[in-house]
Amino acid sequence: MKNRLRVLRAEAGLSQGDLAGLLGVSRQTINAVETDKYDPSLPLAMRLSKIFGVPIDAIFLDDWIPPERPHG
Amino acid sequence: MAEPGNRRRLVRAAIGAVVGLVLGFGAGQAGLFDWLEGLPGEDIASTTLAGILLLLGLFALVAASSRTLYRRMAENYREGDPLDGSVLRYLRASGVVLLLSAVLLLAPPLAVRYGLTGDAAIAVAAGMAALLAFQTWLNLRIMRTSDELSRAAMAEASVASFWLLQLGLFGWAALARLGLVAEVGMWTLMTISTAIYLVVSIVSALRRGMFA
Repeated sequence: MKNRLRVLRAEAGLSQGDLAGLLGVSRQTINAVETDKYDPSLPLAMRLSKIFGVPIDAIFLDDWIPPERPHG
Repeated sequence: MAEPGNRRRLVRAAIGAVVGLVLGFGAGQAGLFDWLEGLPGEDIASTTLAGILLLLGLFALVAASSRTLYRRMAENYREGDPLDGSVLRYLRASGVVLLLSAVLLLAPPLAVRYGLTGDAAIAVAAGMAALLAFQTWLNLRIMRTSDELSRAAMAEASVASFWLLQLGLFGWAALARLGLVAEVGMWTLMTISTAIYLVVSIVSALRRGMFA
């Protein structure tokens, strides 16, 4: 999934290693998320959202539009 | 001009080639290849695989022996990476798992080669059962303590290996049932499954960027 993690991390002045240390994961995990090689679990996405103080959908970009629901 | 990371990989590949050449030459001088010639094909394959696992395990244990060595030897280490005791413990446990895999792969062909039968064969089987139990416990511990990317890569490798082996096994079994190909022994199947899991694990880790 496309995401803005690299941009947000750079704006916060954190290295991949710093962010990994804060989250208790390996730097490879952060790198894999940034390069779209791995979609993080929901708990990790929530923690990213808390660290950067933005909602999850400001980090992860999804262009899916829900279909219109039939009116009953 | 090569990027610094690629240059480092080239240097390491060159060192690896020289070390491999020296080890191969030494093994030849020690009569290993003559010794291997006396073994059936599946035992040669499993012994070779065990040799690869042994070297990988030793490499992991040496790299995990100190932070300095880890910084120098770990392909995916970058300055500033989290490097606490848990990282070294994880690598050490992985090294022990690899060494145990090598021993477990070597034990049956060696026992047969040296003519161990009866009580001696039972003793080898009992020793292997104990090692296998310890390795399983260690594997579970690694799975529990590793981070989510590692767990995802392990799960992915397990699923892909199962799918490949199921497909291959079904195809071969069907052909063998029809009398079109020869039956395959259990040891051959085990060696193939180990080799497939090893390759698939490496591909999965590469795809997930775990060496980056």
